[in-house]
Amino acid sequence: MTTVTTDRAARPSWQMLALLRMELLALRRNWTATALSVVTPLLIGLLLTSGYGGQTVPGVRRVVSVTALIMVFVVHHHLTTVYASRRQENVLKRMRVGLPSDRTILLGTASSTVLTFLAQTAVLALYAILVLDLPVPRHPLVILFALLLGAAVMAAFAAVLSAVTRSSEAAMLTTLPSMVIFLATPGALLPLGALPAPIERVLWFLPTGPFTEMLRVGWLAQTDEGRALGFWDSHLLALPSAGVLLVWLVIGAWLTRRFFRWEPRHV
Amino acid sequence: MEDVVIEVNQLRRSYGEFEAVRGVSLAIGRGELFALLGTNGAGKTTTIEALEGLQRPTSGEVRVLGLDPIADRSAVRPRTGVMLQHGGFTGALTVRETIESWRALTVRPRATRDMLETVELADRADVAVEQLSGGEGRRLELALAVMGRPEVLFLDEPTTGMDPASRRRTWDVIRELQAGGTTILLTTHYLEEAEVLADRVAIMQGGHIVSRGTPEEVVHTLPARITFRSPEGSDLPDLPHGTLSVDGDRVAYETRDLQGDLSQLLDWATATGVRLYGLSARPATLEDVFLDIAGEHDNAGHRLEREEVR
Repeated sequence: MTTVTTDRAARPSWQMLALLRMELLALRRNWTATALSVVTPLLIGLLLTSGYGGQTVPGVRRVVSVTALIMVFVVHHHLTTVYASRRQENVLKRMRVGLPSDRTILLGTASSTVLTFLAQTAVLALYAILVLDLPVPRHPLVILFALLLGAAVMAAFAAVLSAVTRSSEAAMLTTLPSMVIFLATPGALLPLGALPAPIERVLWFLPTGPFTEMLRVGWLAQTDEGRALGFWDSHLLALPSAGVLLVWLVIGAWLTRRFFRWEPRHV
Repeated sequence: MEDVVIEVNQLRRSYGEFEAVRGVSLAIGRGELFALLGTNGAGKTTTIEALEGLQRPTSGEVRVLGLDPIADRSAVRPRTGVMLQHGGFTGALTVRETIESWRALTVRPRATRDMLETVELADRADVAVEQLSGGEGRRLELALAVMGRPEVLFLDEPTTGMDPASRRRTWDVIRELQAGGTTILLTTHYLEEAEVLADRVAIMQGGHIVSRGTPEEVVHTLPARITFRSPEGSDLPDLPHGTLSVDGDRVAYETRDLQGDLSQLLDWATATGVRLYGLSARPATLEDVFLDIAGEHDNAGHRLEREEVR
């Protein structure tokens, strides 16, 4: 056992697992956080989608918009509080004097929140298919890719905003503008077609625009105008969206590098 | 010094306008225990954090095991152990869970039971970290720092907030590591700790090292003291190496030759039949050195004269 440990403790993937385990333990212990980040969004999500039984297009649009809502709340808002509290507890600082690299620490700390989000999405999708009788997603790969990219963008901005967040209470304030921006996108909280087309086209470039479009295309295999798409067309159509999300991810990662704080403010 | 393990060269570090460390140099050999002494704000933590790779020097250079703790992070980390000044735990986890979590992040870690026994927390293993007393928390920190049998150990105020029993236990752990050849740099504001543990000490004040050497050498820069209560109706003698000061009914001689001056004083007392009540004679302690330096610097209009004290 000792010899195996030697190698793996230095491996980023193993370190990430160790950090994930630590975060899951903390989540299990802290009921308020668990309820807030796991149970509440899911319940709200289930409530908001019920009533769309059997209505394929509006139903899927609704499920997708609720997925965006959960993602913004969990992977952006909640993760901001996680980063802030780990920083205030000096856990991040302590980790930095150990083996994991800065990137591993950031990813590892986010991992349990991202997994939570993916699990919530899975439950929501099952509910949509089994209870609401919506069709089975046509291109799961597009959907999975969108979920991972979207979560990565949200996590990056959570890391940035945690720099100006001192506590969970403060996070209500610091993440309010970004939550509004992320949600005020057609397809997220705004229904498609609610705003004049030019404005809608501009707002589409916010992260949740391409994110929700990828989910809709991946689920329904058709454009928002209703044109049916083949396998390749669906994946091809997802590329510009993925590109925009990647740009956001690069911006978020750069801002994180620039502004992330590893220590509580005291000097 | 052949095998220099920790090297600091003209280290400076500013936080905005404030310069916390103003040109510190150190060389610590393998197996040495070096103590950085100073009050809060003296620059001890910034110095040790530069060596831990947490603070980037504004100018100057730090080397641990010949490597740059920031640029060569992945090569340095498996060989060092660090105890930070404050916390570093997720409060909801138990002691055992915390140790096990950190074991997964440590190369060749010592066994959980071994760690619990080393820092005497075996009976607290299933208690949440946030329930621990200050001293217990520090001991848990110590366990994490020594878990990987480090070659170099950094301890930032390891015994702050500890009761005497915890402090002794911590000293024992540090001594065991020292005997095993670990190079240790610790910061403390307990002079006794430095006197008991350290091979060499440096006293920091306002971002400078103002005095350094073995504890004895540093102490020798100050005179010993002879004190007693003022005897009535007799003139006090002049001692060849001593300077006399009288404060109320307390008489004090500061002397560079304790033995010589003390025998002269006692001869005088015997000859004149004077009884010296409350007689005490003792060499200077680090405490005196410390207060002396702190006093000088507080009065010296701050930063200008620091280098002269050396």
